[in-house]
Amino acid sequence: MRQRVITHIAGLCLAAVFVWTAGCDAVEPVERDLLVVEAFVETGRPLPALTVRRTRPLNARYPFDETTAVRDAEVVYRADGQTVPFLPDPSRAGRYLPVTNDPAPVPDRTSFSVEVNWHGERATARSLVPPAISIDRIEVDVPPHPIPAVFADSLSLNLREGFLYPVEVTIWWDTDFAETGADSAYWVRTRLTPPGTFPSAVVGFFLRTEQILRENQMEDLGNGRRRWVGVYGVPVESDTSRMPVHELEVALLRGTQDYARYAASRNAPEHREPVSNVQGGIGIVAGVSIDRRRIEIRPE
Amino acid sequence: MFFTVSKCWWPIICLLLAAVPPAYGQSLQLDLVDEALAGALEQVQQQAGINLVYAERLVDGRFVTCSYRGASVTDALKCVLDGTGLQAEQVRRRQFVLVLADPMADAYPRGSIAGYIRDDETGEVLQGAHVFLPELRMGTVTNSAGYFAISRLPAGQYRVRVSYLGFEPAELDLRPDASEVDIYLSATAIEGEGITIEQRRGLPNELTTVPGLVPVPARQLAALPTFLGEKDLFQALQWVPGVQTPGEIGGELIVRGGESDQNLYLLDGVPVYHPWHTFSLFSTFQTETLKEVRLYKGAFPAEFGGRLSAVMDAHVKDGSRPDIKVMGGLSLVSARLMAEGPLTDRLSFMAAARRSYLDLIFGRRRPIRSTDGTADTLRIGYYFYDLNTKLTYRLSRNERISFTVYSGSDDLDVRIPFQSLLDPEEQIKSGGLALATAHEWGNEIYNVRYQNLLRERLFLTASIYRTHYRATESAFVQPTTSASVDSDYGVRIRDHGARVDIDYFHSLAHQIRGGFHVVEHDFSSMLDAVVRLSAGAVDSLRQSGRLSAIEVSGYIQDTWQPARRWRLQPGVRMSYFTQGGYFNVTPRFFVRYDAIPDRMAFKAGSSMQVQYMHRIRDRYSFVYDLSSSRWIPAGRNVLPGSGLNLSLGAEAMPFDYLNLSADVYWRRFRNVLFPEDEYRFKDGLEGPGIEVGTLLAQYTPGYGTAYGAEITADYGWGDWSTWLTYALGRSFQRPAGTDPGDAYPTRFDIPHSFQGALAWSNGRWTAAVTAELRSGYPFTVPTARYGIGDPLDGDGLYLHRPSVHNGRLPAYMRVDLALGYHFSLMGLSWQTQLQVFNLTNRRNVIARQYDPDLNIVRPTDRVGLPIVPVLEIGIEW
Repeated sequence: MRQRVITHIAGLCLAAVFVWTAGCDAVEPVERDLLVVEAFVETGRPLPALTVRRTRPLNARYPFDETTAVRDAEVVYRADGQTVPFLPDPSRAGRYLPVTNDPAPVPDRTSFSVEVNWHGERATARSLVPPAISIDRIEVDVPPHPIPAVFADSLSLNLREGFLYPVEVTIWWDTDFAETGADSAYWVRTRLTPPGTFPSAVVGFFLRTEQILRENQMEDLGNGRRRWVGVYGVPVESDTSRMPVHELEVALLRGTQDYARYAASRNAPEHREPVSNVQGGIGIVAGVSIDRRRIEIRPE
Repeated sequence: MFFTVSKCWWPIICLLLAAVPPAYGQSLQLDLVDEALAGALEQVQQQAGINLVYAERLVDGRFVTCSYRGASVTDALKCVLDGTGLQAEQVRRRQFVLVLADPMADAYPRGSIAGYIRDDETGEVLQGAHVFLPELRMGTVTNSAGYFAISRLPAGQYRVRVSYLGFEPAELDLRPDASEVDIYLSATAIEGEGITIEQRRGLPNELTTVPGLVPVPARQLAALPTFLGEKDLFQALQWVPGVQTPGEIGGELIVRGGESDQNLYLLDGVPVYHPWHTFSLFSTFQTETLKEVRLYKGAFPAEFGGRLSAVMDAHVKDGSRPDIKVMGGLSLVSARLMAEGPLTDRLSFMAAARRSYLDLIFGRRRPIRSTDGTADTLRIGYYFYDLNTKLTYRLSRNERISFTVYSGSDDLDVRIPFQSLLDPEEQIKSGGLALATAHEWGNEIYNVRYQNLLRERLFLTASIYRTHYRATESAFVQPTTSASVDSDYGVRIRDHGARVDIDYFHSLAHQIRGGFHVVEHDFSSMLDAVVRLSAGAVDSLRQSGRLSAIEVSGYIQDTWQPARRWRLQPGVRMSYFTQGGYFNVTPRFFVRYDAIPDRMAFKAGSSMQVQYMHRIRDRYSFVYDLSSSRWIPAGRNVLPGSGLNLSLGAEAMPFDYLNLSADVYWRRFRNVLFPEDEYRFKDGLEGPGIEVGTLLAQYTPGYGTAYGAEITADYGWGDWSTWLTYALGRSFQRPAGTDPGDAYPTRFDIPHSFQGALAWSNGRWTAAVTAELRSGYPFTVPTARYGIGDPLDGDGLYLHRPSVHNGRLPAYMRVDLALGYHFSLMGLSWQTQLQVFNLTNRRNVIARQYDPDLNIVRPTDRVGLPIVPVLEIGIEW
């Protein structure tokens, strides 16, 4: 009887060995370099330069120069039956310029694709050029006096009291097209760029210097009018300090969902990489419409 | 096809096929002249392929003459037994019992051996105890009332073997008659009148048909080392092969690749939706209040439903002791007190309370005043408690009613005025700047259960219950006088249910169990958040929702013993869920084959499951939805999850002191929810909201697959016991609409896990060492670096992560120790236990991060806890 038991156990062990060998790990080290494609086609402007780089191993530095540039790729842009080849820009490695006799602006709602071929690698991406966007009005509200605030890095106990002017910036624009069909899927990105960086992570959570929003889910103030309110902080020395005169860049961008995903995933490089829309490589190819303004901010 | 048989399964299938017995012939030919009756019966057995059970004293000295040709076994036996005064009674297919014929009776009387199995020390009834008739090689398992019945037995005396894990098996002789017996099992070898304690002669689970069922005797749990000395059920269950706890000290259970919300946690049959304290560090199940825990790791019987992965069925003590016993204990985290015993002849009780006490020692509360005169209060406090009560009233010997109440809660209350963190000389000029958060969550359970032996073979269990989980989270942060966030969030799920279960002990071959369960689920949630960035930039989010659904289910299953070595358990469960109008029929089937009686058995099982609710979480805001469980029902926009479990198991006992078991399993889940963006993490004040549709947008339905093998060796000799386990397990998931090749490992995919425990006890001293060596958790490894720009931001450096969970942390290894000493002092029984967590002080890597901005990217590791010794004291009187 005991012999039969041992025989059966041996069979089980054999089965276990089979099962063991079936279990394989999922680590797939990438040894070859990948193409990194970056192209932003702007509404109402001529075809832009685009960039082709490649990935590098973790144990190598990554300068934005010829070390990482792809200099000899075949790059083609296609839109509405038109094919435009791109050639390397001899003045800047990795940059490619359109070869065309017609530097006409790219009309909105143009559906286009970009194809990059390099040493047997092929990367492609598609996107759509959105309707043009324009900042209609900017309103700035600066409090008369600085307010006290607790400055801290993250939630550490190393706190100190400081003072800041919270500057409220409101921008308006019009969505002057019917948001139906493909036009219902645009996203806008707003951005305030004051000089310098704000010194406290905790207070930083209560500032809103940029946002990415689905445009048709924003409140319609009538006839497609939209509004966004942002807040940035200007730290000062004391509760009697005047706010320094400074320049603020206000930017408004309209793009597709691919761009929105890309832009929204760029903020934590230690955790994640930007969401790519490039097949066969990584990167972003997107149609965008941008309006930028620089304004001077003075205390009231 | 739903699945294909991979190469891994063929050896197991071949092994099972090899174990199938040959077909029996039916042509009988007997020519007996003055043949010894024993020899004649042996000829019949061999020719007919049947099993005859008889006492030797009935056949010794008897001789028969008989001639028979034909195919009828009954006629052949009549021929052989003619004139002997004996008669053959068929008890099941191919099995007969020889009894004395009674010419005066119209029909041969049959009876039942029935009764209750109890713990000799406490008097508690033992659910799941095995009652086995070795001569017939058949038996039964006690139900939730500890009741068993082996019905329609021919008159005579039968040897009965009773066994239960953690207790010494007992053997006794019983006759089928109308009265129920009480059989007491003892953890130590005590021989009583009519009861003998034998050396273990059978497999410990000799009647279990369900592979992956782990009966966990409560008294064995207390001996294992636990984190911070808490007597915690979930920490003890992590030593079961195939069961993992997330992270180093997490309290949630990951069973065979399933997610924690796919487990059904039952306390006296009532679901507990969030059975955790201290942010899931400890469970709400105190081991001292439990008399039995059964963990179904894979396929589970038809009586259980509503979850996909596993069922943990815990039962609270009845307090059936003959005298009142009081126990108290003090660990590093909590103090506990438990009492049980009789109140009257018919009424018994169990009452237990546990409360953490660190807030009483370290909690702080003091007034704070700013220079502008604003008064504020510093508060730092956290505690949890459990109250557990059970009253059992015995209406008669076979009829009783019990009332279980459980209430447990966690309360975190923190308010830190920023003034209190500043240098005393540097005071904030405006008061009110503070950080405050309050979390409170808990469960309440009320359960009334009625049990009655309606007839000798019909046992009724009926219960009505209410289970309620609620959680609130509030947060307030004001770092400047113009900016603040003020948020209140709450979720609740409340069930009102009723269930009826009936055990019908039909015959020797059939034990039928059926039931009906109806429950009303009530889900509600609320969010009121105001984020003020400046005077003109104020965002408010006020949302609330309430959903209700009724789930109706019924089941029936038969435990069928068609032949000596076979035990089958077919069953089916039907359920209907009003949200979405889902109706599902989920069959279950289990089979057990005793390849070598008492020494080796094989088991197989399959079951389909449906889960009508999902647990999801907002993945954007770090202000709310942090500690609570948000359950949502299936509906039109979210399908119920479904699953298929297949398991094969084998048990062997090559020596009396060594038990070996092995299980292989394969399981697949459909329509389970995964995060739509695996890399998304809470990083802002505001989330998109808590409406079900909004939350579902953060998830994607998908498939899960898991397979593996588990091997356990259990060795017990004298004062020593040890077990070693190895578990191989892989678990993958992929979103719907992707190819099977796109599946990636789940968060807690553990390909290899070795666990071992060595325990020793001499009555006064106890010692246990446990060790775990396992693969590291999956994590996403960058493989390259690149730079890319943006029209607004400019260039940035990033790390390329080609796929989710494409790498693995280093292997994890930990050794824990528990050393206990029992002594008497001042008339009390004392137990002290030294618990050492991470005895070797190994710093295991529990997380890894990469910074893309470095010249050369190297990982930065976060390591786990160092060695943590804890002393615990317990008292009994």
